[in-house]
Amino acid sequence: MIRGAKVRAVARFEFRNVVHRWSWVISTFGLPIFFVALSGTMVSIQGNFLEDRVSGVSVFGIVDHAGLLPAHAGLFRPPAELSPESRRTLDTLGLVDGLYLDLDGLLLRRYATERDAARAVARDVVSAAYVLPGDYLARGHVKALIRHGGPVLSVRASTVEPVLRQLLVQRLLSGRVPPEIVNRVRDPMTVDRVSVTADAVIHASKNRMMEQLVRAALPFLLGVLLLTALLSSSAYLVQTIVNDKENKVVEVLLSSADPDELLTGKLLGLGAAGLLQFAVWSTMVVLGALMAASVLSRFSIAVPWEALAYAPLFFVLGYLFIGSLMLATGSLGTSAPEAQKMTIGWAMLSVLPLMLMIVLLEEPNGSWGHVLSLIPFSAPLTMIVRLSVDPAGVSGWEIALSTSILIASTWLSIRLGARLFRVGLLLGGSRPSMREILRQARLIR
Amino acid sequence: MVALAFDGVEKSFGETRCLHAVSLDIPEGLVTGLLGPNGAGKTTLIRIGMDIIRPDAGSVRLFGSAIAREQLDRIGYLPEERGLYRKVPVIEVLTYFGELKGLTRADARRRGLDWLERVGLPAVAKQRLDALSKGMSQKVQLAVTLMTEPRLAILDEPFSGLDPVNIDLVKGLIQARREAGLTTVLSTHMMDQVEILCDRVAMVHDGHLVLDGDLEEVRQRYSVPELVLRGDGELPAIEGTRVVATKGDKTTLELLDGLPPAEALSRLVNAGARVRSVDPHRASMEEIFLRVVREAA
Repeated sequence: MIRGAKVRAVARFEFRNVVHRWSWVISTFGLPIFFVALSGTMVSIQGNFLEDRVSGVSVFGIVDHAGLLPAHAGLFRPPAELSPESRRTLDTLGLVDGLYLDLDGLLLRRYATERDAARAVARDVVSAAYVLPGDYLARGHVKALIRHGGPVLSVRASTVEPVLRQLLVQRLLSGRVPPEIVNRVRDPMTVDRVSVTADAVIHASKNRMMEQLVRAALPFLLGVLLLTALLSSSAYLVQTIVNDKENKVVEVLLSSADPDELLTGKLLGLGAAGLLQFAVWSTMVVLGALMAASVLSRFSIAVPWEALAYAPLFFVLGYLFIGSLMLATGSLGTSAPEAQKMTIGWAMLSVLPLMLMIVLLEEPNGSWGHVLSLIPFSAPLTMIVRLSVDPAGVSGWEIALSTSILIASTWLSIRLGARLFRVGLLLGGSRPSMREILRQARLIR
Repeated sequence: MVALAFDGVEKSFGETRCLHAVSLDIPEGLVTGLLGPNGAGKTTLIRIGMDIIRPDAGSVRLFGSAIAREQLDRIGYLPEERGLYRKVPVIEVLTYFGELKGLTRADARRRGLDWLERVGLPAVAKQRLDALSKGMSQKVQLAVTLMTEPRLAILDEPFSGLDPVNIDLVKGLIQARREAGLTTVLSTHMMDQVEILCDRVAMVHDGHLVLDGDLEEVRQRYSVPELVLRGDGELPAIEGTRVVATKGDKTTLELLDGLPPAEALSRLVNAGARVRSVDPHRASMEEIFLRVVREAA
């Protein structure tokens, strides 16, 4: 019989102990700010870099043995006839002669032979060169000359090829079919996506792609936060039991309270600290998303209210389940590193839905979603993601079944955990064998 | 009334058998010394008595009935391997352990402050334990153990790490408990303290109970028939005695063939011995300890 007063005393003591630690305060309030600042800085640096790469004028070589881009057709011009910006780029690269085709920020320099183009690529005068062979029309092959040891992912190269493709389409069809046909072949379809609700209401969005991205990111972030808070709280549990062992207070504790009471008190106290941490993080994420939405008013951000409402329930159940297992197995370790090694398996099992996140985001209510919702290790994270992406697809009975399985598993894990916890606390010194653990566990009422 | 009774208690860890059918009664209201060499099984016996571990066989009764968790609130336990939360203020630690022993938070705090006064540490209430000396931490731990005025206190090596002044303070606390009719089990290797404080002694060796009884009765039992005499000049040789040792004016005389001490003294005086004082030999607990261990070995 668990005595509430003792559980309360343990829970209050553990809660106060954790929330007074600098590490907890920093991770709860400082980590989200640091994360946002860091990711903002990184995105900004990379964005500026890519923008600079894309917006600047790039020069590529072209060798035309197919006769599609003849020099006399007025396509190519000498540097003197190009825009000032293009001329500046050519001056920088030392290209004072030759003929160029200006394609809105892309300059194609004409080379007579593949060998000339290869030399220019080798000297890094042009970013790359494309060779249209004589049998291009028959085979459609184009050879790209790329400098050996050049960038693995070239933004410039990825921008030139679509432009070159459109140029070839235009040259192939020009004069043979009407201009509007040429345009449609160049750009055959622009998709305007609209979403249809369960009541057949059509919901149009100007920026569907971005909206989808935000709607996918929010559940993902919530899931990651849930998992992070869950695992960090469990880590505190392991830490507290190792501290008890290292501080040699275990015997005094066990002479004052039952292992069940200690285990439950620790779970509740540290769980409350974890829940508080998760609440702070979730609030920051939602506030951040809402602020971003108000700044970028063209997006209609759907706040996943259902997920937020159920998040505390799934956090508590998931935490109690995984926490009790971690506490039990962690107590068998004789030092902090050993205890952490022994609990890593539970952490990996709870990370499982994260590994299948793409499947869950794509098909939240598919087979994987249903199966993972019923496995106690993966249920909390899976349910939060599903309720974020498509709450209408998660039925009430499924939530009830998932929570019931979690509650039953938690009850079992606390029962088992209390036995191992007691054995683990007392069999200090060298790590006991599995046989000895089981023998001692059997002696416990 | 028996406070704590062990009946045929056995315990093994792996292949090691720590206790062999130990039966021992700890009477209520007295101070009982639980003695034994290192690794004898004392701590295991105490842990079983505290219901921290369960025996493989045998039973334990606390205040006349089988151990129930509620009863443990009436026991204070100072383990040999001790420690407290080092980064928590002293008063918070006292309050926490008081609550775990069934006190309300307010009562636990009040009693904690009282006990800090009693152990001479009123100024450290708000300090963290890691800021205190070893001796001060030891006294805080003792306050944690005794702050609920437990009906039974089990003190495992309560004097270790203490200076003579603080040893005296702890002795005073144990004596005050006896005067209040509370039971104390004292496990220590300081045999002089056992002689001063204990009413009864029990000794465990290699997991067996090898000694149990009233302190005076045990000392009597292990005392040899000897007289320690102080006098002037050399003692005359008399029939039925043998000089065992002489040091300065002190002579230890063995009484042979059941010669009564009074008769031996009379013979000495009649033979012209100038005796200033005479004491019958009483075995010290240290002698008894060593003798029992050697005999058991």
